[in-house]
Parts: sequence; C-alpha cells; structure tokens
Amino acid sequence: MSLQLNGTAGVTYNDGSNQPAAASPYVLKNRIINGNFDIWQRGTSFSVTASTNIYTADRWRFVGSGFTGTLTRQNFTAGQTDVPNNPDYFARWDVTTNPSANIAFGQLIENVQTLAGKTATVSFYFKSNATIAANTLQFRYRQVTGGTGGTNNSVNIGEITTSWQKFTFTVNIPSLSGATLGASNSSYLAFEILSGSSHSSAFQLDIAQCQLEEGDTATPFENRMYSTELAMCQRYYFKHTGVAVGDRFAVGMGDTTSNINTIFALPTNMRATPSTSYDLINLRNGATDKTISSVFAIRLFNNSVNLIFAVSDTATTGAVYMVRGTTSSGAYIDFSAEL
Amino acid sequence: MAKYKLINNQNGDVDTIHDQENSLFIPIDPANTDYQEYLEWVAEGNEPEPADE
Repeated sequence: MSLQLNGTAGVTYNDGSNQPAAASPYVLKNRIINGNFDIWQRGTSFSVTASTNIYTADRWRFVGSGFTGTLTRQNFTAGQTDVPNNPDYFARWDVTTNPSANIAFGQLIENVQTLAGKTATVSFYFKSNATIAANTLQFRYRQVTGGTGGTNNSVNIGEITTSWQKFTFTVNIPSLSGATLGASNSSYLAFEILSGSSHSSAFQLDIAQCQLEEGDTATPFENRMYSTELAMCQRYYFKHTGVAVGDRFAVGMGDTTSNINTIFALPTNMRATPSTSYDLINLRNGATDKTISSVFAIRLFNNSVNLIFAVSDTATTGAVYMVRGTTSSGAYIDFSAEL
Repeated sequence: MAKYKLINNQNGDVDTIHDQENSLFIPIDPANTDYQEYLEWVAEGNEPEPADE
C-alpha cells in the first residue's frame, strides 16, 4: 500500500495506520481558555442577582447588570454523540429576569493584539429548553486597548433549538492601526454571547466546545490535556482549598508582634499581582493560633506570592507560622489576576 | 461603611485596598483590574475609608 493523502481522511500509511487530517496548522490553536468547560475552580453553580461582572467557570464571566439567573455545570451523558469527542461538561446559562439592557457571557482574551487584522473563525455548540428565534442572541467581539481606539462588533446567531447544533462564524478582527495601547498589561479581545437590549425575555442557553481560531474554517475542537488547560486558567485565578482541619496552605514567620510574613506557592506565573480573598484560615505556631485581621502587602514573585498578614493576637517575632484551615471544609484562599 | 478601605503597611504607607463588600484585598498594581475598578470608583468622586492609625 502506498501513502495516501486525503483532505478528509488525512494520511494513511502503508501499514494501514491513519493520521487524521490536521485540524489546523497551528499548535494550541484555540484562543479560548476552558472552551470545553472542564475547569471550575470557583464552584460549579452560581446564582446571579442583579448581576455584576462576576466570574463563573474558569475564565468565563458575565458582563452587564440587572439580570437574575444562574450559571451551572451540566454533565454530558457518557457515549452521547451530539457533541463530538466525548466532552464531560457543558455550561447552562439560565436568565430568569432579563433587563432591557445588554447582558453577556464570555471571555476576555489577554492582549488586544490577539488576531488583530486577521480572519478568525469562532465555533460553539448551543441548545436550549425552548427554541430561541434567529437573531435574538449575538456573538460579540470587542477590542479593548486600555488606551485609545478599539472596536465593538457583533454577528447575529441563528435559531437555537432544543437539540445541540454547531454554530460557526468567520469574522475579520479589525486591525489596530492608529490605536494606542494602555501602559498596563490589561488590554484584551472580548469574545461574548450577547443578549441585547431589545431582548428582554427569559431564556436558557446550553453552551459547549467554544473555539476561536485563526483562519476562515471551523476545524474540529481542540481537546487539550486537562493539566495544560488548568495551568492556562491558573495564570488568571488560583484557589487553594483545604479539605481537612489543619490543612497547611503556606509557611511564614513573625515579622513583628502584629505582622506575619508568608509565602504562597503558585502553580504558574500569574498575569498581574493578584487580589486575594480568604475564609476560615488562621496562622498557627505549635498549638497557638493567631487570627488574621487584614492583608497589608501583596507581592508577586514569578510563581509565588508574598502576603503579609496583620493579626489581632500578639505574634512572636521570628517564630514560624503555618497558614492553616480551621474547618474540615470551606477553608480557602484565592488569588485573582483576571482581566 | 465605604466600599473600600485603605490598609497601611508596617511603614505607614498605603499598600493594599480592602474591598469591604467583597472581602477582597487588592494590591496597588496598575495591571490589576480590581485596582483599576477602585481608581474608577475614586474618579467618580467617592472616598475610601482611611487606614487605621
């Protein structure tokens, strides 16, 4: 058997083995992170009341205000073939109160120069619990420079039915010629599913396998390794969660009688110095606990972050302290460098 | 209670901002979007709660 090249089947070698058609000439072609909805560090169910711009599944966030609803992780049935390549999860966006204002669910892609001046193709799988008429929802893409210039465009989405359907759109992402970028590293290309101000009905939208790639063709969804996808998410958000009383999160030392200086290891370098929140943790030396009252310094050093805690009890200068969970569940500290 | 409170470091300088509504400590980093939101809030004429002495 000779080597066979086929645009659909790919390459068939002389031993009969087959290499499927390359999905794209680009490695890591999908500019959407967590497009397969595999990573949910913040939780798997979110209730939104008069929403603000909150994050849900990793990298995915709401934009706009005034709607009420939920965003939940849903399981695909094993063996289903409506959405190919055996995805585990999809996202369900339920809007129960839809204001006469723009609301959106999407992702901010770091660096506004992403795909600028190029042809790009976006693809999603959608379904609903009731038909959503064509042109009710839009795919919106925005270039936010942080300086001057930028763009805001949208494309109507066709009828969404109660069965999974793949939707694709090929768009020309505008050039940034003439624009100036802001000084800080916070420009982005936004990729969003939009319910515009003229649409004020409640709706449910199931979303799976979102992809944005260079070129004029929607190629098969890129299934990246879980560890790769998780690391990509953790550049923007990392949640360290305890599972048992006394789980240790970090180590530190008493700087003074009121301050304890700690170092937290991060799984990857974060985009910017992160904001931090925590619950149900304290600092322990031996059997003596110190209660945290605030964080008064946050420093980012490559893949670690230095937090200095103020404590409301008297600490011992020079003593070693461990940051630990105080309960069997619910203890956490998180770090956010989202866009 | 103001939405934000300033937090001084051990030298008496403001080093973090406490978002008291969301229990979030925010670094002074122009690339941090929580800090950018704080600056917008101030630009709207709001005043943060001063740091403790």
